[in-house]
Amino acid sequence: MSQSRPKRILFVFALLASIAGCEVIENPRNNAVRMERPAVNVPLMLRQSNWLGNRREGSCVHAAMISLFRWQGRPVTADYWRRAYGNGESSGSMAAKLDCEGIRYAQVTNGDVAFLTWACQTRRGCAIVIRGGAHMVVLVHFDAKSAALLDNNRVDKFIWLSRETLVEEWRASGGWAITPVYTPAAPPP
Amino acid sequence: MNKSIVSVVVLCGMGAAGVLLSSASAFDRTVGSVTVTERVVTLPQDAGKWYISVVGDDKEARYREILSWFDTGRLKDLKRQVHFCVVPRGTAMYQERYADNVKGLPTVRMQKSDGTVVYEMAGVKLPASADELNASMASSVTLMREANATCPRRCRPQPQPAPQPDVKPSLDPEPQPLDDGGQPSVEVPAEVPSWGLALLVCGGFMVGIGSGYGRKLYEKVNPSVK
Repeated sequence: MSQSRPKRILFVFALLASIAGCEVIENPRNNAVRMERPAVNVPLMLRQSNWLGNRREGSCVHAAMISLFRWQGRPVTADYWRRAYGNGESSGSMAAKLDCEGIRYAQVTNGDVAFLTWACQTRRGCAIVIRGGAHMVVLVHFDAKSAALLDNNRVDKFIWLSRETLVEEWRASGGWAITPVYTPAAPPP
Repeated sequence: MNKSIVSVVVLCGMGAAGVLLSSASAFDRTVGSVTVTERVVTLPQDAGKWYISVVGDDKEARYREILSWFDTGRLKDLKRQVHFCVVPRGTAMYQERYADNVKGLPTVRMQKSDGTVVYEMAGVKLPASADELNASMASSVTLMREANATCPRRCRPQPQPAPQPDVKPSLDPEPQPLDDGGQPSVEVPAEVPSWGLALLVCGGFMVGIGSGYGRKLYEKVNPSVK
């Protein structure tokens, strides 16, 4: 009897210690909080489809950037860009145009995955190259397991794939990613 | 998460990454026969930044008036600390992301980075002046902070990324609107360390056990009359 008492006390102590601090008083107004998925949930009406430029080249780089301009609260810039530019671009030529227009942007050309993480964690998203550098799409989600793309050749749906597949494809395509740096749309309440 | 973002900055600072930000300064240098362009980069580390959306019909004077409040005084300071979203009625952004969830126009909504609504007021319920709006938002923030302050160690939300050494991230503090009653307390109450809590619980048990044995001992020495 007397030997089991310390064990009992120890058990009670351990039980109390394990539940200490378990009272949860968060979100006192009982607001439903759900993280949006994809993180960059560009509305259908804001998605820019690809188009043929005056040199009969696709304008995927511009289309991707226009969708991002709209998402980041720059509809006037987006409309202007749609009227003013088109055709294919390299990282250098696109940077020159953005510099010329005074656009705030960030880009990598070395396949640094941290840039993709930053872009999606700040909910800005970014345009990335795929298909061996022949095409550019918008990366709208990038987490520990999965990624989602918005393809300007088919803007009606997001394309989900694994994080590893996305990174492999992106790096094999040259590792270029670019995004405007403005204000992302607010999350849903 | 933060480490990944910070690593971008660090790598760029070392000249190892090709990240460039248009507003950054640039210089060229020659390595062998190759010219390398480097830019100093500071990507905004603002994943934890709050949002303020001002939604309304831009043809209405009331909406334009409310928007103008954010260009002066304390609301201007607040505007600098958040993602400020102007959402005119009739735009695609309004149709797809606000039309279904605003209670009226104009609407002012303040949200945490995860979408939690800290303050929302619409239509005739909106305060009549910039100062009143500021005070109203401040009281909502204070209310939320007080609620969080009652939350013990495990569940306390920590929306701000922890600053990392060796970098200069431009971390944005939670917005701190001011009211006439003074600045709302924005200090997060000091957290009780876990070992301290364990010590406290242990001490409580010891006192309880001691008093129990003491009582029994007292009863043995001074048996009660039954």
